[in-house]
Amino acid sequence: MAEYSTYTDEVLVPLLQKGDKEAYAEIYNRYNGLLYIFAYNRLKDREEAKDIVHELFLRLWADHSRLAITGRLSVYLYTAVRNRIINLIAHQQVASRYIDSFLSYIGQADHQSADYLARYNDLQTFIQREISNLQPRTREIFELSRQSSLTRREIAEKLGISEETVKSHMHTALKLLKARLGNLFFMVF
Amino acid sequence: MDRSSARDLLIRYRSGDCTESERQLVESWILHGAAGPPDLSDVELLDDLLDIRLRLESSMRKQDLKATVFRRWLPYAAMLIFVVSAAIWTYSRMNSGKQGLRRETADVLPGGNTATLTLPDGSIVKLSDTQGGIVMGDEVKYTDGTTVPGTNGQSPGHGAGAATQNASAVSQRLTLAIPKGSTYRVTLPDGTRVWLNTASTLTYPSRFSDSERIVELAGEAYFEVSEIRAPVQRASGNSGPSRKVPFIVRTRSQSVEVLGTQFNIAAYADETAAKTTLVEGSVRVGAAQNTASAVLKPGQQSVVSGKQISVAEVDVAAYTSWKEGYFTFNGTELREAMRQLSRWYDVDVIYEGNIPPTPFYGKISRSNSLAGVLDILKEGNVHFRIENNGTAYRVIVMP
Repeated sequence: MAEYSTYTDEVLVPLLQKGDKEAYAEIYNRYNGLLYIFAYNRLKDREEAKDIVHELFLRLWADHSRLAITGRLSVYLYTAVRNRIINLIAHQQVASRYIDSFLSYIGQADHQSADYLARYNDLQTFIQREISNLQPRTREIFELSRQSSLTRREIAEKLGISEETVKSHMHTALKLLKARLGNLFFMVF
Repeated sequence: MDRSSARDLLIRYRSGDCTESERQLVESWILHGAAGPPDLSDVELLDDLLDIRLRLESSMRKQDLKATVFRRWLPYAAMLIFVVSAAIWTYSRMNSGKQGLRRETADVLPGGNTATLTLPDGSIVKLSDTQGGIVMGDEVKYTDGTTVPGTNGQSPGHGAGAATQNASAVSQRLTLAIPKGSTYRVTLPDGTRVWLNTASTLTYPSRFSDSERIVELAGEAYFEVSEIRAPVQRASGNSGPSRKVPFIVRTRSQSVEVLGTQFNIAAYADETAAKTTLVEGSVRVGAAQNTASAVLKPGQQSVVSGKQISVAEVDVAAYTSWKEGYFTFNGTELREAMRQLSRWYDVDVIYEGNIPPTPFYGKISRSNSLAGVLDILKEGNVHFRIENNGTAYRVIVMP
């Protein structure tokens, strides 16, 4: 069984396009946490942010054979989330919640040239920085969330009760995870 | 810029009707306007990630179902035509009373709750499939309190106290047999609760003695043994200290002695090893073929294979979830997983070609049809085909 976790994005994309569910699962595991935080930080609404990430990944699988991913996978995914965020923000009913934030940003950006903005908007650099800025703690949460054999209550309880328990749990979870990657990803209840 | 033109810009961005510098401004705001770590607690963040995952898994299952519904039903439609024409053919030829087809549906559906109880006099009572279990007491009752018809006079002890010694009562043995595709529960005379898995039998006395409680198991069962104390036999005085009455489960290859605990034993004849998984308390497992024994702690599992006993830490839930109605595979090898399916769906399994050992991980509801379960297992890069030879179903496993 192939170790999908060791594959680069460049290897995973063509596999996904061919309908490889494990490649899909690995892409999901790699990016769902990052994209969720990205969406949440901008929307400050947990439900909306969850919806965006859920719909994005649903579409990614439903359209896997038609995906036109020309550049980097990470840029593709962030762009998709960004577009969904803007769609939501530009929506008539919700726009007013974000206008103030936008106006204050425009105030700061007024002095900056379009040239600067173009460079500043390089998504690839932005994503690199986002990933490297990730707190070790947040990374641990990402890894823990991969472990679907633990119930939500179990983990939450453990997170709430004692840090030591969580740590050892994470340790076991990660060990198990390494052994498990590649086989049944989907749990059925 | 004022509020209305800011909003206007966002709307124009969405419709693609803005200048290049306006586009960069909006995108820059989205990227850089909200930097920093999220103001969510670890629990909230994890909760949200798991929520997305569960929702996605649920949507994907529905999507896959839609996509495969045609492919899935086509062979069944063909099978159904075959079954129907075979039924008509059989019907047109057969005399009444001759055996028809065993099943008429195309997919293999899971079983439910049926069992038979063999009474000490040898008579066999078929237990209701609308009841999930029986309770052994002064009478044999279903768990809802109604008396099991046909068991009158065969009940364990008429008004006898537990302490009454009665050698003949101890020798009266009952056998609860669970067919393939069923599970059933029994509460023994001492209050011990036993969940019997598919294709298993439990033999137990109508009343336990004070010295030990012995039951015999073939197959798999989960035990919640109640702690029973009996006075220590002494020449003088009757208020002496009490001792725990051991509860012993014998299977073909091993014997498990316990003093009040919860554990699962899987000792099917078609498995090479008998596995005892301890949930709570303490048990001693002894191999039947020699004197080797091991004491288990909670979370440990013993594997008895011939004269060998090995003990390891395991994920207990994986070995007891059948009780809640799941197959749980936790590195379970393909052939062992298939034996579990074979016992639940009452099908034979045939291997075609060279199939490498494949471990499976996951939890699947046993209320799925066989085709539904196989559809999930094929994610492990193994292929399956359900065949019907007119009298029985079988699963062909292909590389």
